[in-house]
Amino acid sequence: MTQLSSPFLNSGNLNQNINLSHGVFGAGLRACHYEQWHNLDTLPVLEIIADNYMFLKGGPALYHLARIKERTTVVVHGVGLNIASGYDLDRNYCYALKDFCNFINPTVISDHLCFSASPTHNSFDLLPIPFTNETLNLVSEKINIVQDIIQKQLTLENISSYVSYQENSYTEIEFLNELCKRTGCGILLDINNIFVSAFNHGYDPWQEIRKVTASYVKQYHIAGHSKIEDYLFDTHDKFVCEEVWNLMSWALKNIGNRPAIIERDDAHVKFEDLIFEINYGNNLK
Amino acid sequence: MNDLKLINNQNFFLEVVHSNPNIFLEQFLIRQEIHAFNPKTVHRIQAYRNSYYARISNVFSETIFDLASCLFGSDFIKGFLIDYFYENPSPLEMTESVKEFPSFLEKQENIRYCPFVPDFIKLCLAINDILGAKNPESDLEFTHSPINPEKIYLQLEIKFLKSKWPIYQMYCCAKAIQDFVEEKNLYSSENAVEEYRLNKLAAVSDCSENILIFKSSPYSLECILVPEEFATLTEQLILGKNLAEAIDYTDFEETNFNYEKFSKWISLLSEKKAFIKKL
Repeated sequence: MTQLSSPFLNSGNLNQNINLSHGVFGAGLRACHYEQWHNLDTLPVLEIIADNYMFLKGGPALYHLARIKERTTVVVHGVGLNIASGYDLDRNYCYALKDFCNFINPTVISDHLCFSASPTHNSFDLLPIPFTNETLNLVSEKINIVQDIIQKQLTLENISSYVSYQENSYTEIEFLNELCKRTGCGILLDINNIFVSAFNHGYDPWQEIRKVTASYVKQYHIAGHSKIEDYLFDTHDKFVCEEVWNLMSWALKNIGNRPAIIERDDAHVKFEDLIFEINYGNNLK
Repeated sequence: MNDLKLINNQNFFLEVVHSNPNIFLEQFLIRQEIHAFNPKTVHRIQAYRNSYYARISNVFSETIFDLASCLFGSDFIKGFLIDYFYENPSPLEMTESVKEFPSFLEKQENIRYCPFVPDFIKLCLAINDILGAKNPESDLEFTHSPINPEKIYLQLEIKFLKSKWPIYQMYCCAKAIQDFVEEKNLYSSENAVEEYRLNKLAAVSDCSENILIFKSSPYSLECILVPEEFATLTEQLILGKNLAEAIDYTDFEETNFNYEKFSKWISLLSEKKAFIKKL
C-alpha cells in the first residue's frame, strides 16, 4: 500500500496556501487550527462536527465558528445520531441539530449508518449493523423522523467496519441506495471506508463503489488508515494512500464533484499537511 | 433479525465494548449472541474494545482534562479515566459522562497519595462548563458613570470553587506548562516537559485557595484567586446578592480589615468584567 510520504509532501509547493479556490476538497474544522484558518486568504469547504458545538451556548468555539462560517461553505457532520439503534431515536438530539443547522446553514447535514449507544451505554464509536430488510425498515422510519424534525435532507455515511453479520442480505452501498430511494436521504460516500471495509470483509472495493447511485451522493470523505493484524483500521492519522486516491479519482469522474472532506483526527496533525492534501485532491487528474 | 433480536445483539455488542480489557475475548465468544456475527470476522470485535478505552482516555485527557494532563501527566489522567469508565457506563452525552469523575477519584484508595487531584478535576469541569455557557452580555457592562454598589452583581455564568488545596497556584502552573509545550512544540520531548513540570510544581506552596471562573468575552476565560477573607463575600455574590448586600452580610471586622487589598481585588474583578449592572 503506497502512502504519500513526507519527501513527496515537500517536493511540490502544495502545502503553503489553498491554490484552487474553486476546488471541492476541504477539511474538518478542529479547534487547534482556528487561527490558521482565520489567517488564510482563501478557505476551502470546512466540515463542522455538530456534536462539538450544538450543545454550547457561548464561548470561544462558537465565536470562531461564527467567523469561519461567514467566509466559506460549511457542511455539518454528526457522530451521535445513533440512527440504527434498536431503541428510540433521541429527539432532543435532533432538535438541537436542527437549531444548530439553522445557525450555520450548511450545504450538507450528515451522520453515520451505524448504531453507537443504548440508553445506558455509549460506545463513542460507530458500530456496524446487519443489512437486512428489518433494519432497512427501522432505519428508514428513523430517517423520516429526523428529516421531519430538521426540515432538511439527512445524508448518511458508509462506515469502516471490522466485523460483519451472517444475516446480511445487502452490501452497505446497496443498503444506502435503498434508504435513499425510500426516504429521500443522501449518501456521504467515504472512499477510505469503502476500501477498509472491502479489505476487511474480502470484497472488491471497485465493485462496491460502482454500485452507488451517483445522484444520491452529496459529499465525500477521504482519510488514511492503518494495518493491524489481519485487518485495516480507520485511524484518520495518516496521509491518504494511493489506492484510496485512485478510488477518489474514479468517484470524481463518474459520480461527480461534491464537497470532499479530508479527515485527520490525530491530535497533533500539522496544518501544512492538511493544506497539502486539499491541494493534492484539487489537482487530481 | 427482528427489533428485539436487534436490541439484544446491540446490547451484547456494547457489553463487549465496555468490558474490562483484561477479560479474555473467549468468554464472549461462547455466548449465544456471538452467532449473529460472521465467524471469519468475529474475533475483530476486540478492535472495538481496544478502541473504546483508547478513545475515552485520549479524548477526555486532551479536551476537558487537558490542564490536568499538563499538570499531572496525561498517562496518570488516562489511567484514572479508564478505571472510571469501567465502573461507570456512560450516558449518551460525552460531557455528562464525566460529571461524576471527581467523586469517583475521591473514593479511590490510592488518591491519598495525591489528594489534591479531585479538586483540580472539578476545576477542569467548571472551566468546561463556563466555556460552553452563555457569553457575558456586553450591554450589562459598566461604562464610566458612577457605580452604585446596590446595582452591582456578579455575572450570571460564573463558578466559585473553594478548595483546601492550592487550586489557583495549580491552575497557573498547568497553564504555564501548557504554554511551554505549545511554544516549544515539545510534544516529542517528554523529558523537557517533565523537567519543566517538576520545577513548576516544586514552586507551589501548600495552602488552601479559592477560585472564581468566568468569561470576560466570548473567547476569554478568567480564573481569579479569591483571598480567604473574601470567600464569604463571594459566596453571597454567587447566591445572587448585590455587592452592597453581600458586604453587609459578610460583616467584615473593621479594625483588621485590609481596605487596600479589598480595593485592589474588587478593581481586578471589575477590570476582568466579573461584574454586571442590574437590568
